[in-house]
Parts: sequence; C-alpha cells; structure tokens
Amino acid sequence: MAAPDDEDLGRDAALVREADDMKAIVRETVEEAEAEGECKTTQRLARARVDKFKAMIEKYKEQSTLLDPHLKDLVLPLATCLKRLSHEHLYEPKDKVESLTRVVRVCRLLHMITTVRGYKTVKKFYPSAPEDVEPAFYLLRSLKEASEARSDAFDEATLESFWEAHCTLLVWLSLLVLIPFDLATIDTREDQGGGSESIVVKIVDTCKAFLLNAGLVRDMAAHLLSQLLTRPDSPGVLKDFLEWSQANLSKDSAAASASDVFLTLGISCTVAAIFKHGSRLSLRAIAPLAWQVIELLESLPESRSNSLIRKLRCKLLCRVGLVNLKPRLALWRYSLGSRTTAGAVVQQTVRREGERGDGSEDYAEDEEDVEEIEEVEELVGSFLENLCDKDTIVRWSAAKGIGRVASRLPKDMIADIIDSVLELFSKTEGDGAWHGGCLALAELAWRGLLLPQQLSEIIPKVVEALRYDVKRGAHSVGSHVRDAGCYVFWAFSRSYSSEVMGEHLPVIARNLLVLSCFDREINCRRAASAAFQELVGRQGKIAHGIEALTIADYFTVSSRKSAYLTVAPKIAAFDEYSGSLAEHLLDTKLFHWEKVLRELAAKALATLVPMLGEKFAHGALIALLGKAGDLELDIRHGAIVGLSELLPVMRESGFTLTEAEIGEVLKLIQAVDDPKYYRGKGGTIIYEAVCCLLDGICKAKVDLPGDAVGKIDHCISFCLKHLSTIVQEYAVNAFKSLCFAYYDGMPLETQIQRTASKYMDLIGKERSSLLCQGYVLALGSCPAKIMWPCADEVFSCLRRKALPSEEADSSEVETRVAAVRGITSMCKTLSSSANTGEQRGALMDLLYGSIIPCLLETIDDYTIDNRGDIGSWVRHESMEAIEVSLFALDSLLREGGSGAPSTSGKDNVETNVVGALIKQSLEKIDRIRHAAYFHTRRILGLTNLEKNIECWTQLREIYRPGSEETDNSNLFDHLLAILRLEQYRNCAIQGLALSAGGLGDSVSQTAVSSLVRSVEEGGEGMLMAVAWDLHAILVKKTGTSRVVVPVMRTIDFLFSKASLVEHGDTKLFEALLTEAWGSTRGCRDIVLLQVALSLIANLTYAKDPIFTASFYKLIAALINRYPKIRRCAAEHLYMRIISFEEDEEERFDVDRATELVTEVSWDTGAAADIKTARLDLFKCFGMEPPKKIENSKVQVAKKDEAMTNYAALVNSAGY
Amino acid sequence: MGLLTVIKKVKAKEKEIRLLMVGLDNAGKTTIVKNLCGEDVSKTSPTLGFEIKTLAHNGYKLNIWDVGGQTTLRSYWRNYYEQTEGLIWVIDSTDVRRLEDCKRELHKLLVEERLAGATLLIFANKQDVSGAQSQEDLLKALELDKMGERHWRIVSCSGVTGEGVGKGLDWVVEDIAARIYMFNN
Repeated sequence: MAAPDDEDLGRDAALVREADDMKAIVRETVEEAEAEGECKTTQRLARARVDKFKAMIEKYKEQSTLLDPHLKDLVLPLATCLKRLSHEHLYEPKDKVESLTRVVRVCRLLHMITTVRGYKTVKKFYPSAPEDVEPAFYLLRSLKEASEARSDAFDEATLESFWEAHCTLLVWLSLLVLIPFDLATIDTREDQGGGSESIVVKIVDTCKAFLLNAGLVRDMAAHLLSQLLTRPDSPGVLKDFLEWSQANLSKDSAAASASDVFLTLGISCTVAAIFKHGSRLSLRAIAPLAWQVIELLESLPESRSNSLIRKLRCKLLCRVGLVNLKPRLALWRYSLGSRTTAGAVVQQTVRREGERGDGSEDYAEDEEDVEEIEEVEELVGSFLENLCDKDTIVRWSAAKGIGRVASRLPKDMIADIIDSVLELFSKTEGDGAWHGGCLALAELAWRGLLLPQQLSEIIPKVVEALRYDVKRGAHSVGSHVRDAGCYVFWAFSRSYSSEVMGEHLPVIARNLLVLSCFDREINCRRAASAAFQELVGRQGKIAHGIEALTIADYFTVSSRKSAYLTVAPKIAAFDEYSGSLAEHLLDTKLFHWEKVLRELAAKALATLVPMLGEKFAHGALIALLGKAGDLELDIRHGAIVGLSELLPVMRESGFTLTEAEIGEVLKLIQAVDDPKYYRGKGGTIIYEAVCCLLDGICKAKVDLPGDAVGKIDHCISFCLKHLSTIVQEYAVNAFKSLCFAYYDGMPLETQIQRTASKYMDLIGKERSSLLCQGYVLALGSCPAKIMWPCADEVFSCLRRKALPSEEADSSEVETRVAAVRGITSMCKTLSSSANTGEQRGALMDLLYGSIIPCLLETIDDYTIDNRGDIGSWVRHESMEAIEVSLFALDSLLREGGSGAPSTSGKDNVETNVVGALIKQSLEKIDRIRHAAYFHTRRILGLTNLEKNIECWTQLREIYRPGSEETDNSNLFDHLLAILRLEQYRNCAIQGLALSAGGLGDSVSQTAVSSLVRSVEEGGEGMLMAVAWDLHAILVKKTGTSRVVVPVMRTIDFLFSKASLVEHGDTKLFEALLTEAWGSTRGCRDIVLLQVALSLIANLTYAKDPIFTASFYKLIAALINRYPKIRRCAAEHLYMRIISFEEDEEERFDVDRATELVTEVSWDTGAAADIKTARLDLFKCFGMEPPKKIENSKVQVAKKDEAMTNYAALVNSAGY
Repeated sequence: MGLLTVIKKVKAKEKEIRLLMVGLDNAGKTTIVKNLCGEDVSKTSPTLGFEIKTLAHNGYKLNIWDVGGQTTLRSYWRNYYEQTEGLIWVIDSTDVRRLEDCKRELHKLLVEERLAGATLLIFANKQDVSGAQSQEDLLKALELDKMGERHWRIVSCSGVTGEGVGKGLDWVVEDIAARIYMFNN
C-alpha cells in the first residue's frame, strides 16, 4: 500500500479488524509448540482456540485478498515453527506422539489460512531451503503412518486433523521440490525407513498412496507430483509414473472398487497438472503415453456417470493437445485497440495462452500449416462432443479447450470450428449443446478469434439462445442457456468496436431489454441488464440507451413483479422498445408454462396497451380471442387472462370494440357458459380465468344483449359454487362488476330479485353447506342499493351460516369463514352508504342488536379437526369483522347518532368486544396474536367509542404504538399490564392460559415467564387473583380438555415458578383439589390425567388439611386403569416423600413407604400386588383406604383376555 | 461452478479494476478521462451519456465508467458481472458557490451501503485556474473527516494540463490492487 505522503490528505483504514487477534492466536500456538517439556494446553483449550481462529478467518472467504497485508505475519511464524519441528523430528526425535500432536496443531492453523486464501499464495511464505526437503518428507511419512495406525495415544482432535497436516506438508513439499539442485545431492539418508530408493522415488510412492484419498489431500498430492515430475532431472520417473497410471487405469473393471474411482480422479488430476506445469518440448516425448491415459479414461465405465472424470479428461485433452501445437502470432485476429495511460493507442499484443515458461519457444508463422491435421480434427471433434455434455463443468472445460486450441490454429481452420459450434444451435440439440455453444462463442470472442464478418451469422443464433426455453414435464429448462447468451453479448460488447457492431446493435439491445424485463429467473434478468449496460457504455449509439439502463438496472429487475409492472412500462415509453416488449408478451409469456407468469404477463400487457395504440390493441384482442379455445390448458388460460386484462384497459384508453369483436366476445361468453368448458385436468385455473374474464367484460361494459348478461350471471353463480377460495373471490369480484355494469339501471325490484333474493334462495336450497361459500360471499357483497331494503334478511341468512350449530346441516368451517367475511363486507357497504338519519338508526340497531353479538359468538370458535385449530380461521376473520363493525359504529356516533342502547352497565357490548380481542391477543397462535393486537390498537384509536369502552385511557396507554410491538416475545410482556385492569383480567387470563399451558414450545416459555414476572410485580393479591381466575375457568369449562389441560398446566407453573404454595390459602387449594380430582374421575384422556395428577402432587406440598387430602388422592391414583398414570403417581409420591421434613418423617413410616414406592412395579405389575401395595402405603401414612376398593378396576387383571386391547392401550398411552 | 465464478476468475486473471467517475456537472470528469487516454482535451462538451473506457495502467486493466450528467447513479454501482471497486469523485475547485451541493451529493453517495468497500479518490480539479481552492480548504468544506473507515485520498490535479492526474490514478489503483490482487501474479 502506498505510504501516505505529506502533501496528500487521506486515510487508509485497516480492513481486517481481527488481524491482531488472529496473530495473537498464531503466536500462542507457536510458543506452545516450541515450549520445552510436556504440552500444557489441554485438548479442549486448543480446540477452542482453533475454533475461534476459524470463525475469524472464515469471514474472509469471499474477499480473501483482504488478508494479504497480514498474511506474512500469520503464515511465517507458523511455517518457521513447522520447519523447526520437522528438523527436530528427523534429527533429534523425542516422544513421537507429543511431537506429532504439536505438528498437527500448527498445521491446522496453516491449513485454515490455506483454505481461505489459496495454497498458491500461502506457499510463498514457506521456507524453501534445500535442507528442509528431507525433514519435511519424513515428517509427512510419519504423519501418514500415524494416521493409518490411528493409535489411541493421540487425542481425538489430533486424529481428526491428520489430513490437514498432510495437506500442509504436501503443499510445503511442492515448494521444496523446486530447488534448483539435483535432488540426489541432498539425499543423505537413503536407509531411513528401510528402503534404499532415492528420495524422489520415496516421495512419489507416498504421493501415489495419497492419490487414493477422496478429499483435498488427493489434489495436493497431485500438485506435488506435478511439480516433482516435471523437474528437468526426472524424465525417467515421469515415464514410470505414466506407465503406472496406465496400468492402474486399465485394471479389470470388474474388480474395481469404490476407492478406484478416487484413484482414477487422482491420476487424472496429476497428469493434468503435469501437462500444465511442464514445458511443451519436454512433454512432447511423453505425449503418446498421455494420449493412452486419455483413451483409457474414456473407456472407463465410471466416466459416463462421473462428471468429474469427464471434466478432467477434457482438461487433459486440451493440455496434451496443445503440446503438439505451436503457439501462433496471428495478426489477423480481431482486437479492439487498447489504450494505456501512456497515452498512445497500441495494438494489443496477442495474448499467448498456455505459453510455456522457457523462452526458447518457437512460434508458428500465421500462414504456416498445422502438421497433424487429423489429430487436431479429432481433438476439436472431441471438444465439440464435450460441449454438449450434460454437466456444466465439462462444457466449460471444453469451451476453454476450444478457445486455447483455436488460438494456435490458422484462420481457415478456426472458421471451420466456428461453423461447427454454430451447428450446435439447432432445435434438435439439447439444452446442454446450446449452453456449450454459447460458452464457446464467448470464449472465442474473448480471444478475438471471431472475425467481424462472421458476426452477422453468429448474432441471430445468440438471439435465439436468449429466447431458449423448453418445457420439460412440469417445468422448463433453458435459464442457463439464456444466462450464457447474455454473457456472449457482454463479451461481444467489450471485444468489438461500435463500427463493427453497428448494424446489430438495435437487435441486441431490444432482445436484452425484453429479457431484463420479462425473464422468469432473476439471474437472467440481471445478466441481461448488465449486458445491456455494457453495450450502452462501450458502443454508445443505442437509442435511449442511458434512460433504459437507468430504468432496468441490477436493483429494479430483481423482483419479478416490479420488472413486469414497473420497469417494462417505463421502457415501453420508448418507441424503439415498446413493440418488441409487447410482442414478446403476446407471443411467449402469456402462454408460459407457469401460471403466475401468465397472470403477470397479462397485467403487464395491459400496462403497455395505452402506449402501443389502438391498432395493436385490436390485433392483440383478435389474437387472444383466437386462442381462448385452444386445446392446451396453458394457452387457453393465458389467452383468457390476457383478455380479462385487455378489455377494461381498452375501454379506459377509449378504444371502442368493433361489431365483429363484440361478436367474438359474445361467442366466448356462450362458450364459457357451458360446463364442458371447464372439464379436464387443471380445470380450477380455467374457473379462475373465466371469473377474471367475466369481471373484465363487465368492467369494460362491453355492449351486450340481455341474454348475454343472463349468461354471465349464470356463469358467475356456477363458479361461485367452486370450492377454491380464489375462484370464489374472483367470482365475487365479477359479481360486483356485473351489478355495477349491467344491473344498476334496472328497477330495484328486479335488481334484488336477481341478486340478494336469488342467493338467499340458493343458500337455503343448497344441501351441502360447503358449496354455499361463494353464495354467502356474494350475498355479503351486494351493492348498497340492494342491501338496504333487505339488510335484516341478508344478515340473518349470513348469521345462520356463521355460527356452528348442533344440527345436522351445521355449516363447515370454510363456510363460516365465508359468512363472517360476508358480514364484514355487508358492514362496510352499509356503513359507507348510511346517509339519512333513518338509515343510520337502522344500522345502529343492526350493529348493536345483531351483528356485534353474533361476532362475539363467532370469535369463540375453537373447532379442531385433523387439520389442527381450524377455528382460528373463523376467529381471524371475526376480528377483522369486529374492527369493521366498530369503525361503522364510530362513524355513526360521530354523525351524532342517538347513542348506544346500552351505554352504561358493566356488560356493555364494546367492552365485551375489547375483552374478546384481548383474549385473542394472548393466545398461542402467533398470527392470531398479532392480528388481535393490531385490531385492538386500531379500535382504541376510535375516539367516539371512548365512553363506551371501560378503562379506555389505560388501554390506550398499553396499546400505544411502541417500537418493539411486532416482536412476539415482547408482546406478552407488553400486554400483561392488562392484568391490572380488573374488567379485562379474566379475558386476558383465558387467552394467556392457552399459550402458557400449551406444549412446551417457545410461545409457552415466553408466556410463562411474562406471566411470572407480572405476577411478581403485581404482588400477592395479583397472584391470588390470577389463581382464582384460572380456577373459575376450570369450573366453567369442566370437561373441555382443550381448555382444562392448559389451564391446569398454567396453575402448575404458578406452583413451580411463582411459589403459589407459600402464598395461597386453604380455600383456594381446596377448590383446586376438588376440580383436579373431579376431572380425573372416569377420565380416559391420558394427558388430562397426567396434568391433573401433577396439580394434585403440587398441592401435597401445602399444609394440612390440604396435604392429607391431596396425598390421599395421589395414593388413590395408584390403581388408575392406565399403567402410565400409575407410574406417574408413584413418581410424584416418591418426589414428595424424599422432600419430607424431619417431623413428618417421624410421623409416618417413611422407610417402608419409600420401599413400596420404588420397589413395586406400578405400571407392569400384577393387579393384586398393586392393590396390596397401595393398601400398605395407606397404612404407612395412617390413612384409611377408600371403601369401595373392590370395585376399582385395574386393567392388568384383564390382561389375558384382552391382550390386543391392552397392546393398543399401551400404545396410546405412549409406552 | 456457475458462470459468475468463472467470470470472477477471468477478471482476476486479467487484473481488471472497475472505477466509477462521478461528480457534479462541469467538474471536468471527461477531460480527465480524455487526458488519461491521450486524447485532445481542448474540445470537451458536456457529457450526455456514459462511456466505458478500458485503459492499461501499470499492468492492470482499468474499466473507467465515465458517468456524466446522470441524475441517478444507482444503476451504475453494480451489475450482475461486476461491482465498483473504486470511486473517483471530481470537484471543480473553482466553483465555490456549489461546494455545499457537492458536499451533499458526495455524502449521499457515500452512505450507500453497496459502495462501502470501494476506495475513494477525490480529484481537486482545475488547479491550473486561478482562484482554485486548495485541497485543505476543500477537505474542510466537504467534511471529509466524517467518512468513517473508508480508504480515501484527495489529490490536486488539472485535467487540462494533466498534472496530478497520474498520481491520483496511481494511488487508487495501488490501493485497490493491494486489496484485491496483491499476490495474483
């Protein structure tokens, strides 16, 4: 980094904050590794340190270059330490385990740095003296032996990390073997380890063993081998290695095992690396051997399934192929003149790819022919084949290969290659071929090998690639092709001058913009936008280029919706682009395989129509009408949805429909009126589309004859019966538009007859309440004019459907939801149209007298079925309805309504409503809690209700918008202040108990801790009040285990967390005991039994008489019919007995009792034993056993006669 | 391996750096770019569009994005293929009247989180004209010390004579290269 000089002002801040910490860890590790004597640091400590280091350094994975300024300080101490350790290991060996453990610890850190920054960079800091070669190698070998032996002497962390040490040492050796002396000269200890081979052979053998490894160690070994074998002094070893490789690859495939695949990969890696590092001339000699390796690779059966092998083969093809070709200075290559800051424009010197290290390379003259034409043709053919591979990595490798090889070929041969690449762009080829073709084109353009005159042939192909989208089953493929197409254009923009690109620019620009607006995938939209940006910036001359790139940039195209509905209309404001955008929608995207996209496309088309003018609109209309009857579902759906958006926008733009067009629309209405139209797979989406279409026709107020309107009405009624809520919703929209467009002018009688009366009639007649949902919704959304005269009838009809009843025709939950929704929209309609005093009075009566009481019932819907708490849907909808009705009330009062009928008195309606909402806002479903919270807050904002809601001011204070209101954990804390308001406490407790006593999830935990906190803050009085409230719920809801279980659990929490035992009084405990014991009688609900038992057990900690009473009950429960409960009771007893005080221990026969409780197998023992044991227990505590003991049924007695039943029971009891 | 990984690698191999040239209108951005390219600086008219120029500089390949007279710069910060590595903010040192504007715009740009990693070079341009503010004065006026942990430097220069331009560019390239390409030889 430049040192700040005096004259300039500026700052160079540190970018790596953790640098010092990391260095400290390095220092510690080094000090410890070099310390004398036993290693003091424990395994755990060392691991914690390594983890810390890892956490710090891994942050830099993305931008590892940031570490570079610190790299020296991090790597050098470790590497030096490693060197010292390796010398010590070889020359003055100490305890092997100890020293290897130290090595591993040092290597772990080094390896971590290496993974983040890359071995090529880190390697540079390693020591590279010739005397290190042997120590490093022998250390590696010791490590290898130690890791294979997996001796117990090593701690776990070391055993796990041996591979990291292997990697590190291999990397180091790969540097060391480059020393410029003959390796034989440093080979001193040939006898070490028994072998007499040279060190080179030893290294090679060790590496060969590592090539079998499945992980990183293999790659590092390959790297080391490539460095070692390409040394000028080891051609013999290289040849041996290749022969060994060949022998290994050609092993009988039947005998091949899994590890052979790894060996194959290892060998290919090594050979590829050798051909990367070696010099061209020296490798020529062994090229034939390498060709054989390639052929062997191809013939391997694994290569078909293993893409890595194919990729490596492709890499080898390229590298070995290049060995036979001379580099070439081709002056004909196209190259955009590159400027330097020196100021002169110079012709860029041709990059010489794959240029070898030695300068003695000879270059081929441009026109010189290639000698091995056949070989080259074969090579290129092989690449073309690999371009179509099913795996991307192989295609990439092939594209690169083509580029490299082409740069060494004469012009006419390249032209042939380009022709062959272009042949890949054909309909018969798969997506892989298209993608590979794009990659190859980009690679060739990048190297300046595509000549300008070839562009006019190439560009149309790439444009086609931009549109590549092939349906395959339920999805489509091609996003990678489009992405690569953008890349090609990006590369073109950078490689060619605007003179060359000139005529092609408009085409490219149009297509890129279409893609950035309308592609399905975010990466393609972004890629297209980037390519367009580059095109504008490099080529200039693009009409409205800058405006367009500002509109469709990286950020705006990220969301598909905004790309379609915001970006596209803005781009279409430029005449150059509007046409192609609209055409693309009309030709492609409206009929896309994905429904969401078709719907978006329809909406986008509507936004474009005003800009494209009347002629286009009529053309589009006719085209879509033609496709509305298509046999293919996607096309039919797209066309109908398109029409439904097109018709209204045409009306808004003032484009009138011709008679012929109206005729076509009429025909379509006829067609959709036929139930046959909806038949077939995916009919639901046609229902949706038809509803939209009818809505669109009505909105557009197409000039229709009367019978067509009747058809629309009929069709809407038909769709309303559909079970999908989306269809219902769309149908209701269409119904509303219909009323507005075609019925509005009719006499009121007829209107009512055709709408409200008709639907009330249908609801009455319809047997299955499920099918009523749509009717109910439609009924609720009748326009005000129709609603007023028959409000009472409509409401009572809705009410019937909104409330669950015991009758057989009781409505389903879905219908109840719809009915409540209907009430909501009814309220809205009436409230917004109550203009006269009379109407206001009527509405007030309706609200107080019927609507709000009804909603107070619906908000108490706790229906459960196998889908879970489905009543919550009704509750959720009811809260919305309540808000709407209270808003209506508020506006009535503001208008000076006659005041509420029940303004005073404790039981007024508004207070009850708020209470119900408070209850919901503390219940266990997160969604409901939040909805309730926000509804309540909004209701408390209604100033005209102030005097009708009790404690209005305090509630306002609690519900004041705060910063943390949306955080669920705080919602409980936030709202529990309500416990202080006596009027609402009961409601709050009702809700809270459901959350707190729910299953032990996070909601329960937060609820409980909030409850405990507020009880503590509220003092003893509060605790008692809460406890009594809970008791009251138990009394009221006896038998409803949905409520009783959580309430009992909550009381349990009050005992365990708020020490209710100490604060409560006998009266309360008695009452609780009665409830708990009462609920266990004849109870077959295991969960309830358990909870009740636990409550009784809690009561045993209270003083007499509660202690005796509850203890007695606990013993009594020992003969419960369920084994699990019996065991549970025994456990509770045991827990109680061991916590007896001294005086109690004296009073009772505690020893005998303990023995009984623990020794008897209460759950599985024989009935008789259990009974006797229980009687004994009673005696221990001086209690009289209950008299009717004989009648008690212990089911174990029936074990033999009902084995199967018992098994089922055991199952259900959770054993 | 996705396309982006490959592109990233290619970029690293070619040692590419992307610089965004910004500043108020008439600050002299295009003149500086022209000077760098060795083109005639005498007839520069207000830049209407934007232009990407590629320059070789000390072994690096600079893609200079000259964004003149654009109302919104957001579109240029990054795209699918690349991010902005360096910002060059050009000030007309003689335009005292608009220093306040300049400060506001600059700080507005710098709070943009997506530019957080970019190195900032400030060219105090038009030093050859009399009445030009010194860089110390500009530093105070622009409140550059409030910039947090960014790498930045202010350099006096003249787009017309070319003085200082090379020096500034050297710094910005070195700073970025130190971050990005230190050992990628």
